[in-house]
Parts: sequence; structure tokens; C-alpha cells
Amino acid sequence: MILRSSFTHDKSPEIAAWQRGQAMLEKARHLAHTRSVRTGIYPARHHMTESRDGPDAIAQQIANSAASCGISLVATLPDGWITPLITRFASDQRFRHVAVNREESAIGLCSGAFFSGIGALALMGASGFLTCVYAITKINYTYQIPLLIGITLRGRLGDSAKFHQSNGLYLEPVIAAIGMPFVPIEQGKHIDRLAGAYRHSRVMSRPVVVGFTREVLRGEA
Amino acid sequence: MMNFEACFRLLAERLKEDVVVTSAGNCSELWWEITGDTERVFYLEASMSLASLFRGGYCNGITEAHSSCVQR
Repeated sequence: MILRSSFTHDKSPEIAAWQRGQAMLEKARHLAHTRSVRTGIYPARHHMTESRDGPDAIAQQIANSAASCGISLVATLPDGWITPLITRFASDQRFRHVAVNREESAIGLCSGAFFSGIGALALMGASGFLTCVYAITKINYTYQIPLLIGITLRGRLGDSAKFHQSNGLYLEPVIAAIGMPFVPIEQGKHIDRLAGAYRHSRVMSRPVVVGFTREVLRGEA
Repeated sequence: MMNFEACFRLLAERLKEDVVVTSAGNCSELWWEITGDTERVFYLEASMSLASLFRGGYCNGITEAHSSCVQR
């Protein structure tokens, strides 16, 4: 099967003009983003919906941390705990958000993005992460491709969902079994560890997984 | 009907400017045998059917590019 993506072939003058405009817009966004990352100053519109506490504020903090370290592509799969966070990434112009169809797709997309110089985050639930072990070991470990993965720490004490208790039992042992650095974020004041995890992933050329507790994502810790 | 190798030879003749992502071991080996290319090809073996997504992620970072994903 051939999947072809050609930005310059077989196009009418109108399409060509539109594509040139898109390319210029993309370049302008990239320059603005690069400048913001360097200076730490972001346009005010990005903070218009910021609230002082709760899930939205935490989502804002996580998005700021992701932007600060150069992440501009975020691939997500739904999980009830991270709905506000996904919403934040989808509405924040510092990021290109891609809602993928399965967790492994996030691994593939973000891994390919690395080779074009794009910083990426794959965000998903704990159960979905466990389905990615083969893709991670085959693609990222084989080709030494760094990747930051964000997950929910389902199944911990206080999680009343019986169907997530298997995550409480096996998630962290599985992460340890494949030798993947694991950074749990259990308090809001530790959200900036996300940026450190991203940089560590780049240094060691392997994936790093960051896990968020429910309390952190709710703004209660 | 063209066989697998004939298809690849036809593609190799036409994809002169594209970045190519291969999807598996036998696919990679045949593409290498036909083209010997190391400049425009990412030989992604055991891709878990993620070659097209991998290519999509790569294209995300470039505004002027031709890319193809070669899968069996």
C-alpha cells in the first residue's frame, strides 16, 4: 500500500497559493513558539481561560511545562482523568493536538515527529499504555528514539474502579520490567518534572513515562 | 498482475524525491536490494503497522516535503 503525501505535486494555482499561505503561517507559528520558549513569555491569549485551582489550572500548568521544554505535538487517547488536560492541549495554540485512534498510533506519530525536530508528548491512560509495550520496545528501543509518554496512575489507593485494579498491581512492575524511567507526579508542585523527564528522554535516547495521580489532575494535591 | 518485486521496482522508478518509510523486514530488504538507498529511506522494521503514523509524525515537522510509506 502506498500512502502518498505530496505538498507540491498536482495542484491548482489556488491550492498552491493556499499551501504557501499555510506554510508561511506555520513558519510564523514556529518562530513565535521558539521565541516564547527562549524568553518564557507567551502571548496573553494563551492565558485567557486560566483559573486559579482545579483541573483546568492543573491542565494549564502541565501545558506550560510541556511548552517550556519544546513540546509542540501532543497525541492523545481519552481517559476520564485527563479530559481537561486533553481539552487544554486541543485549544492551546502552542500545540498541534492529534486525537489518535489507538495508543500505539501515538507512539508511531510521536516517534516519527522526532526525526523532523518536533518535540512530542504521547498522552494516554494507564491501560492504553500497557498495550504499547511491543511498539515501544520494537520502535523506540531499536532505533533509540526518545519519547515522552504521559499516563494516568490508575488503580492506586483510593481508585474505586474495580476494573482498574490490575493497573495498580501490574503497571509499575511492567514499566520497571522494560527498563523505562518512570517519573510519578503525585503533587502539583512537581509538575515541572515533566520538562525534566522530557529532557532526560532526549539525553538517553529512550522513552520516559510520566504518571499523574488523580489527586494531582484534580488539583487536590 | 504485477508481483511484489515488480511493484517495488515501479515505485522505485517514480519516487525520486520522496522520503520513504518502509514497514517490515522483507519490505525493507527488497527496497534496499532495488534502490540501495540510505539517504531518503527510513528502514523501519517490525513497525507494528505504524509506518504510516511514523511518516505522518515526520511530515508534521516539515512544510515542504514529499513522503511515501511503502508497505506490503
